[in-house]
Amino acid sequence: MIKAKIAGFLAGLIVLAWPGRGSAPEVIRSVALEEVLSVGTLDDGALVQWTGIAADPSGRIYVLDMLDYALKKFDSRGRLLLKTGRQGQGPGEFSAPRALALNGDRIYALDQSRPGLLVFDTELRYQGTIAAARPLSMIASVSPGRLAVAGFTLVGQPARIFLIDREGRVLSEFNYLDKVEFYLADSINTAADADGNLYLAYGYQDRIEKRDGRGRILWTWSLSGSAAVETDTYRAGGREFLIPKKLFYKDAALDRQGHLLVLCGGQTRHPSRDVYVFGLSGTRLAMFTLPEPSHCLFVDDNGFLYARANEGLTVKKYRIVYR
Amino acid sequence: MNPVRRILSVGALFLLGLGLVGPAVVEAESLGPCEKALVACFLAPGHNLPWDIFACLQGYDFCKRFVEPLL
Repeated sequence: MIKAKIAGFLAGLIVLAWPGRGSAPEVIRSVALEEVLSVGTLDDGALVQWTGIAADPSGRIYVLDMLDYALKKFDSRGRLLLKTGRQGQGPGEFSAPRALALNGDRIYALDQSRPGLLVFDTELRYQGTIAAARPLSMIASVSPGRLAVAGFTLVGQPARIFLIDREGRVLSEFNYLDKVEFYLADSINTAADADGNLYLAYGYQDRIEKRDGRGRILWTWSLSGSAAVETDTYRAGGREFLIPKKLFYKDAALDRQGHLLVLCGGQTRHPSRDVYVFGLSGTRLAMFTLPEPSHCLFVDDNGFLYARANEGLTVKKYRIVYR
Repeated sequence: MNPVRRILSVGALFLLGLGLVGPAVVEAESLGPCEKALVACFLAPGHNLPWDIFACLQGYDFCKRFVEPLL
């Protein structure tokens, strides 16, 4: 009887201590970054102007170098192991390499001036190209064997996200905008969680949202409380073009604790450096500032954050410390 | 950063940011470098097909993300 009471008491404690239901909202008082690795210096030529980045669980880093027209692989200590690619439109060549996703043993590279995706293995051997009708603007690894891609579309048309398998076959698709109201309204930065939910941080709209794998909106957030957009009208070739002026959000990533990190563009105090930290339910928990402006934000499976330094010559790797 | 390397880097990036560089340059005080490049791209001869518009938009987006913060 006493044993049963003790067991019941312990079970109650476990329920009370279990995070989630009934637990207090998470509070982050401060966020600190501790630099753990720096790749590329002013003189070593390892990187010229890097754009896309990914890392495997062992800490090996894969980087697209736009001005070197190359995909590069570094070991966990930052030493260059492999390099492939050259300028061109041929197999395994790059014109304007922009973004990267690692999924299993494959690397998917997005070139903004070439349709589709270039596929490499982790030894940087070219595996082929996944065809698309036009150049893509976003790629994100969702889960093993599943990626999300999107491309800019014309005003008046719906903007769609495609979920594809590792061979490029479309598994599903959904509209994230039913109608593109102005050019670049469909510019998105995307992260995915283990449940297949997608987090979209819009480039040229004050809008961050979480969607499930079928595209249904789970929550939305904006700094100003509305999807404010400032646009200019340009007339060219007898046509009018509405173009947004402000780049609101530059990238999105999830850390190991399930926080959504969003790199802000030019509308905050430290342009291209301020990072918002959101909880799973869309509550903004904290903000921190990168030491240097960055075009992107990447968090690996071990929770390390990667960002740009030295105006693109250097990759910095940080440990994120929440207090 | 080595000044020469920086200029080369930024210059090359900016050219890439143009997408497809057109001969026309719109002079307007209010336009930023990326906006000027975009207008020039739109005004380039024959750049009225969707493919060309996408190239211009990609270039503008690239310029806003990579080049503008360096200027």
